[in-house]
Amino acid sequence: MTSSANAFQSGVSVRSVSKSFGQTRVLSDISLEIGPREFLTLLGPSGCGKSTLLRIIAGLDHADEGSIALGNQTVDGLLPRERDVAMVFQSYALYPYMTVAENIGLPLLMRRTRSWQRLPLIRRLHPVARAATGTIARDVRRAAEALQIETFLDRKPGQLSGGQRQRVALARAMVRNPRVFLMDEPLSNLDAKLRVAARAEIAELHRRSGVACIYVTHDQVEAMTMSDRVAVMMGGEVLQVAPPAEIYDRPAELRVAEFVGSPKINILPGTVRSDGGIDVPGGALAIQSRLPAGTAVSVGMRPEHCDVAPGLGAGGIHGRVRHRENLGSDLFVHVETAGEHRIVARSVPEIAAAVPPDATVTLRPRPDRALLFDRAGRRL
Amino acid sequence: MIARRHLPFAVFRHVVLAVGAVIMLAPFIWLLSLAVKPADEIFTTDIRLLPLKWDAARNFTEAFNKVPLHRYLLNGVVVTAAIFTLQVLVALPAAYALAKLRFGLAKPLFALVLLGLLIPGHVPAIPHYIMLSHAGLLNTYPALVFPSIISVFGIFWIRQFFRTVPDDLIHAARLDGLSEFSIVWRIMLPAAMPALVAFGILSVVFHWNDYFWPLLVVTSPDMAMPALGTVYLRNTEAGTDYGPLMAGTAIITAPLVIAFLFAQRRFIEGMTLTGLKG
Ligand SMILES: Nc1ncnc2c1ncn2[C@@H]1O[C@H](COP(=O)(O)OP(=O)(O)O)[C@@H](O)[C@H]1O
Ligand SMILES: [Mg+2]
Repeated sequence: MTSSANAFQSGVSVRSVSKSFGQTRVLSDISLEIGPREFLTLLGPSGCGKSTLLRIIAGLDHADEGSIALGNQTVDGLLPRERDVAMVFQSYALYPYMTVAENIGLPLLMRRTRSWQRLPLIRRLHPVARAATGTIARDVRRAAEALQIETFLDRKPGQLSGGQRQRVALARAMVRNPRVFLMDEPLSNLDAKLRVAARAEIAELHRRSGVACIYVTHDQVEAMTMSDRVAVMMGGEVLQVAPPAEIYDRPAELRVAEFVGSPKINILPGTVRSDGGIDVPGGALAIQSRLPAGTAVSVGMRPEHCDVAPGLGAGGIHGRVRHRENLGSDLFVHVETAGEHRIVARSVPEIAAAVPPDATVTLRPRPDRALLFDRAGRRL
Repeated sequence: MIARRHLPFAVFRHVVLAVGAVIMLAPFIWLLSLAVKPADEIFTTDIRLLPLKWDAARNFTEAFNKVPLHRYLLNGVVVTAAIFTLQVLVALPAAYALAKLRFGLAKPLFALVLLGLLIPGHVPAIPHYIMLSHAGLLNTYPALVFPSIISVFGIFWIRQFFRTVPDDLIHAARLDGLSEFSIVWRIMLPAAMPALVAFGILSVVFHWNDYFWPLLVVTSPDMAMPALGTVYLRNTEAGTDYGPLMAGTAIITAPLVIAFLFAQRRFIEGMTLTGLKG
């Protein structure tokens, strides 16, 4: 956990990696650069190839094409253990028949002793082996203390709760100061409350270790809250790599815009008018697009960028309230406009009484925050 | 609740099972009964379980005097232990490779294992015999052990069990620095314990009771396995002295029965795991 052990610290380069399982192409031409101390999240729906990419980086699986470099060393020919990466698995993958201490200590034992020194009797008697056992015990304890699991060291994983197991898995990954951390949905088996705490903790551990981390998740909240940068993956491709705020505010594609944000971004079909404004079902957007008149676009509006006002006002988009969700802090108003398009707008609970179901309302999207996408889904 | 509603059925079930148990156990009970009776009580017309005059001591000492019973038992322990150990040494890595490694020959090799399951153990007996004879190993421990080292059943069995071990566990081990062999012994072996116990029981019981192969390769009494030993015991006096014969048979069956009583739960766990259920 100290920084001294890692004299050189490295990032990860993924260069044009492709992978198919039989006929199914799971990864197509993925390229990514991860900085030496960066926390990069691979965000995407399940089945999009995130775990496969992580396994390829770890050397547990082989790419059909492309190559992986750690720092400035190409590692394609190296076995997983020679790559010096540590991984935390979704299932934690703790060794069920070993104690917590043995689980955390195994990577150290395998690295610091030779196979003959691990034979039962020699391990106890040979001075070198005994010394190694001592330092391993010390390092295990230190890692366990960092994660507050030092009181469980003698238990088996089966006797631990989900949150404790997750910490053991983290400790096992951190104990040997790897070049890179790979984490495959490490929080998805925790309950909601624990997840919030663990999010902060992992981010904190990453900052302290100063090692690059590739974190896989399908949970956008994890991606947005923990990462330096997010790589949005879908269907085996990386759609956009950018800091969380940029992913949210300036998505490169319609698919990214739709995947990130909750409630989902509102999408309406629109046509550019000659004055630069955009006609949408139920009204128009007063923006100044520089697109040629008549261009068909998709207009994206996030719920928090749509104001709702009761009654039929001038301008804006008219519609009828279909449903309201009062979260206490926010009020989400579901509005149906012409052509049965649904728009969700975020407002304040105070206006709930003014927008009862079936009331007619006027939506006024903030013109500067509207996102325009072309037919192919690229942002304009 | 359920039991009460189905009371007639439960009674019926127990009666059927009890009758079955009596039929199965009767020969053994009879064997024990004869083993403690004096010779003149064995051939009487009335059936009684307990003897009028206990003669257990004479029967059991006679059994030990006539043939080296302890030697048969020792041979049984040495040979079954050696066979099982070697079977595990072969089967675990083979099963691991077939279950978890991806290589070109994995499918054809597994097909060969399945094919091997279909071949009765008696088929290769003659070739094995000739090989051992050429090697000058007949009538030795290696002759008793050698043909059983590779158990296709064991390989198949443990492979099926290994299929249920999550890949992530193996991935974690590879990242933690374990070689493939370390993975087999440090990770897969402990995971496979239930399957190994079941396999061990089947293996030991089979080889302890095996009569066919020892009969072929054993030529002197001091190399006999337990089952063959009972036959030597019978031959010593042309099978007339039933008391000592039954006593000897009881001793030879005893280790398995005692082992069963001690490890009953494991035994049954192992059997249900196999899906053989008896
Ligand atoms: N060993 C494999 N053999 C065949 N198909 C696989 C294998 N591993 C993964 N896949 C397929 O590849 C796709 C991507 O899987 P994965 O990388 O696990 O996705 P994610 O982690 O994003 O949910 C899935 O459709 C999955 O079915
Ligand atoms: Mg996955």
